[in-house]
Amino acid sequence: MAGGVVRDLARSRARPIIARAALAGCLIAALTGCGSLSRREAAVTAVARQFRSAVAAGNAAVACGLLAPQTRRELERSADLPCDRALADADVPTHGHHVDTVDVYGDQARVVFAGDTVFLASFSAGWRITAAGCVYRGDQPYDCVISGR
Amino acid sequence: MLRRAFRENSLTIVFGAAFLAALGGQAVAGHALLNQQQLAAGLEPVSLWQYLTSSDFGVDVTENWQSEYLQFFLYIYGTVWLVQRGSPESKPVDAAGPGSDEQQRAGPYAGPDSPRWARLRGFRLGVYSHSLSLAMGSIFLASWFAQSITGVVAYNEEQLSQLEPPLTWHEYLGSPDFWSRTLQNWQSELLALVSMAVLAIYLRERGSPESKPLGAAHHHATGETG
Repeated sequence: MAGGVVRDLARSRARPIIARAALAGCLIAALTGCGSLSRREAAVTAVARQFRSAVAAGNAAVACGLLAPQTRRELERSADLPCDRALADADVPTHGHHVDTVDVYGDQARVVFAGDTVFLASFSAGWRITAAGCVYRGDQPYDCVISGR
Repeated sequence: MLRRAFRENSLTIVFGAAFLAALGGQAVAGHALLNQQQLAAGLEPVSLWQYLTSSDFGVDVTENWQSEYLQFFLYIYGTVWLVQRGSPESKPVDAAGPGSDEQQRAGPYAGPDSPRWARLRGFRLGVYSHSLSLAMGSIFLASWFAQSITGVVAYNEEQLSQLEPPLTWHEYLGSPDFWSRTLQNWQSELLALVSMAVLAIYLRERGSPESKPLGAAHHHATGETG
């Protein structure tokens, strides 16, 4: 009987502590998730801007290094030129660095600039451009100057 | 003592283990499928841990969980009022309804070994009277909400990979993807309920509490099991 009372008392004291710990855990997970998303959005935006700056400056080596492998292969195949020359001929929009929207879902991302949109995917080496110079077409896929499709 | 504990809880233990095995198998197969799709799209394969923490895995799990708990909620609550003559899944046809306190051994009719809240009156008895459907319904709503969250992320990841615009969560709730995932699961769960209610009128499984006794008449013995 006495043991049961002590046990019940211990349980009743433990319940608020357990509830507070669970709530703290949920808040930490939510804030960690939010922080992680902000970091990913910042990383995606930085790569998109770096690519456009490199193209604008004629720094094809840097720009080509930021392309996803399939996108680079498709660019070289369609132009029948090495990446640096194909990119110079491609007329990728580079004016305007103001970002309207950044979307990151899983390993895919989109950065919407004032005049065009850039799509990215996550690789072990970091975010890479999968499509650039993209124009919105409603229900249809974006129409892009370069892409891996 | 261990053998006795296993025997007396074998239903939970065996089906619990089977659930874990099936979930593990789903994880392995889903991981392999995703990596097939990644490589075909010119992307890098992901690790098993990355897959288990992805929205792809999350939506595939939660879309199934929500429909299972919806099935249990509807069946538990529906069979209070709905009857099927001859089915062991149904109460007797003239016994529809929540039953009296005496029939339910609730309140003043509770015994010394009745659950504590069954011996009470008022709000707590009311809550306990519906605790099973409340639990099933709550888990259904929580897992359906989780399906919507993981679903919109998985859907938008696919959208962006196809160079198409993503949807907001509100837009996703009205999307064909959300309702296709939801309704394809609901139809199978409801079919299972109907199948069980009707087949058990005419077919038997000796020894199962889900079946009528072998010698029980088809269109009588409603609610009788053995």
